[in-house]
Amino acid sequence: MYPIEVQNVTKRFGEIVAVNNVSFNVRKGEIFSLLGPNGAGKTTLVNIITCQLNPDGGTCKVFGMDVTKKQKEIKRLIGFCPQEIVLYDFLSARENLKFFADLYNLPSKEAKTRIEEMLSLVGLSSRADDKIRTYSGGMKRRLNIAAAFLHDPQILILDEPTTGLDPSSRRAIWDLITTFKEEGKTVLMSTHYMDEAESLSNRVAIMDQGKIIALDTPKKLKKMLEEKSAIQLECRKLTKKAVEELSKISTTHKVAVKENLIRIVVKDVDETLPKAIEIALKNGAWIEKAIVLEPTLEDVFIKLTGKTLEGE
Amino acid sequence: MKGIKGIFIVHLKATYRSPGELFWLLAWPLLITILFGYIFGGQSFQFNLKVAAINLDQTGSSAMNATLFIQSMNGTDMFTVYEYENLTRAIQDLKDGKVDLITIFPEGFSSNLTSGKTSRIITYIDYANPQRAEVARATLQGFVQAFSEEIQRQSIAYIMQYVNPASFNMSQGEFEAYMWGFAKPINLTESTEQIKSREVSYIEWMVPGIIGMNFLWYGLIDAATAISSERERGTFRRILISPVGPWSVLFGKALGIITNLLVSTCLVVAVSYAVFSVELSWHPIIALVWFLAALNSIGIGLIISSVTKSVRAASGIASTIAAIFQFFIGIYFPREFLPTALQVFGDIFPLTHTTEILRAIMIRETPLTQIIPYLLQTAAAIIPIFLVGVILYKMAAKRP
Ligand SMILES: Nc1ncnc2c1ncn2[C@@H]1O[C@H](COP(=O)(O)OP(=O)(O)OP(=O)(O)O)[C@@H](O)[C@H]1O
Ligand SMILES: [Mg+2]
Repeated sequence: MYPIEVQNVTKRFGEIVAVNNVSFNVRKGEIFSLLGPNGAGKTTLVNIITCQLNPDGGTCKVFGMDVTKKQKEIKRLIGFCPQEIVLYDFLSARENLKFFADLYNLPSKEAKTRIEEMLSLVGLSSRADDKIRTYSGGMKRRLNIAAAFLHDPQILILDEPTTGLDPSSRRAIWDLITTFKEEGKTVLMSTHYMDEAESLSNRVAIMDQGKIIALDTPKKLKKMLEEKSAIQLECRKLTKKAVEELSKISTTHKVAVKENLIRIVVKDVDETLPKAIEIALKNGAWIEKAIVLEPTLEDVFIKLTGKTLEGE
Repeated sequence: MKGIKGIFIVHLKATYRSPGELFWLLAWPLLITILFGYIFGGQSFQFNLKVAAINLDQTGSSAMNATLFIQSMNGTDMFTVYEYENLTRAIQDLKDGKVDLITIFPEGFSSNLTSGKTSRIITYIDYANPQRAEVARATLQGFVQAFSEEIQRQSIAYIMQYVNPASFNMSQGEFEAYMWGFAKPINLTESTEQIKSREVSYIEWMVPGIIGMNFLWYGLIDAATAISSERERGTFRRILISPVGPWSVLFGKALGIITNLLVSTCLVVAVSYAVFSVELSWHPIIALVWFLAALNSIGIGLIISSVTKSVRAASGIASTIAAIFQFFIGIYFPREFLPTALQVFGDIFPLTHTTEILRAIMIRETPLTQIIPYLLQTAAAIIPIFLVGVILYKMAAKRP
């Protein structure tokens, strides 16, 4: 019996098929990520698993219990962090957590120690009694996540938990999630950060347009690529013409452009690197830095969909 | 259990940390009580009347004359008498509101009295202020009646001295009773209860009304926005992801709303007692009536929140209903002042009836036997409203 079993689940909103015949199992003690761009259907899937939406087709089970039937039992086992910040802004951090402790019927004494513990883990102890309307976005988000951990659930379900956090806060949250996993518990999270999926997850399901298009460990997913290197040119100026010409280098893989940064995934780096620099310079680009990296999950995503994760 | 407590506490904190909420919950009823109390409060329905007296009687010499009558009028708390020489001036002052009524003692007033004939007093009352005019007329009439009775007593005592009842085959007592029957065929005795209700001051009358106003304004808005605000914030959904179900949410919220209403009711009662010495009659059944009124507000609030999509819309509808109905349900003035057609608006609104019942118990001390049928009828209107609200809420909770 898996902590989470999803079988042929489909969910429609009118014409839109938000989740399209999706199947996967999440194993006990792993961190499982749903990686996909905006609108891929991650939140919809998460909402089905947390009993907020009934699927139109297929079945979804949590510890063997059907999400449409054993809701009360399932809800006890899950700690959930929604994509939006959902807190009372007229309450302090401590009061908000007390409210969540009450919802999960934590005994007062236990609630007290857990609240203090969580506040310190997300670095909010010193501001714990301030109304959260005075908090920064990142502070609120950290509290939003802390609420999911509070009742020490069996399964954590986090919908894009680290969106909008600075790097050090993200790392703190990652540590929190990893510690949780190391206690033998299960995590399902959605994200559109490929580095988050890659460095945190045991397995990643890549989602696009309601479907899971690949599912494996990050390592194996990257092995899918025959291209073994990624050339990244950071330019002070990147011309349209340069992008156009550089795109012709790889016939199998689309180049990714982010502002003044262009990324080309290639099989034979020794041969391609000088060629790429030459083409760039010839077409008016000013290169500041040229680096050779390993391909990432985003490159896998591009390979599979022809789009970047930011969508374009 | 803890979930309900948590929801209840958060509802109270939401209220007591929002200046806007606090205004409607505490400041507004306080303001209405004090304002209306000071403007109208002192005026009980038994006020001191200013009387213009014109004495045209020259026949006075005996023990009983117009001057004596005027003096005894002045001797009561009810009248202050000013003697006038001429009617034109008196009428002018009556029109100007300087006096409340004019009494004219015509020629022969005293001699008629002493010779056992009927004396007349002519009175003028200005009906520009009908309520005050009515009070003036009734008070004067009451006084004249009391005075007449005193004369009757003296006359009968006088006659008894000279008549031998035995010649009529009667005992002394029988004959005296017979004489009283002559003088006063029908004696109207007012019960103490009626006297009490005549003495009700405006502010006393108002207090149950202001309590009703809390149910209408605060109760309705609080109930209509209780669920909407959780929904808008996303917390409704997040609560439902926890093991706490929609019934617990409803229960916790209802407790919060009821607590808030209880606070404002206590405030109104305390302030009206402290500032205007309003003393109400208490009976355990008041709790039941009060609770029904709360259910009514919660029911309507739930209906509003399930047909609206935002807090703004919900509070907009709730305050529109309150703004309209406040004039029809007998909060600020008796509903009888309204044209019959408009009274219907009050009739159909259950809060009118809970307010009436509260007033009947708290002020008029109406016996329970009269109240219970009315209460049952009112409950029969409120319970379906509440149930509809609950059913709509439950349906809406399926798509949080
Ligand atoms: N309640 C809804 N009504 C109608 N359409 C919806 C609803 N919820 C989601 N959708 C649609 O379903 C699709 C998937 O949305 P979903 O929120 O699951 O995506 P996501 O992967 O979580 O995206 P993001 O990264 O932006 O959060 C989208 O096209 C969205 O417009
Ligand atoms: Mg989402």
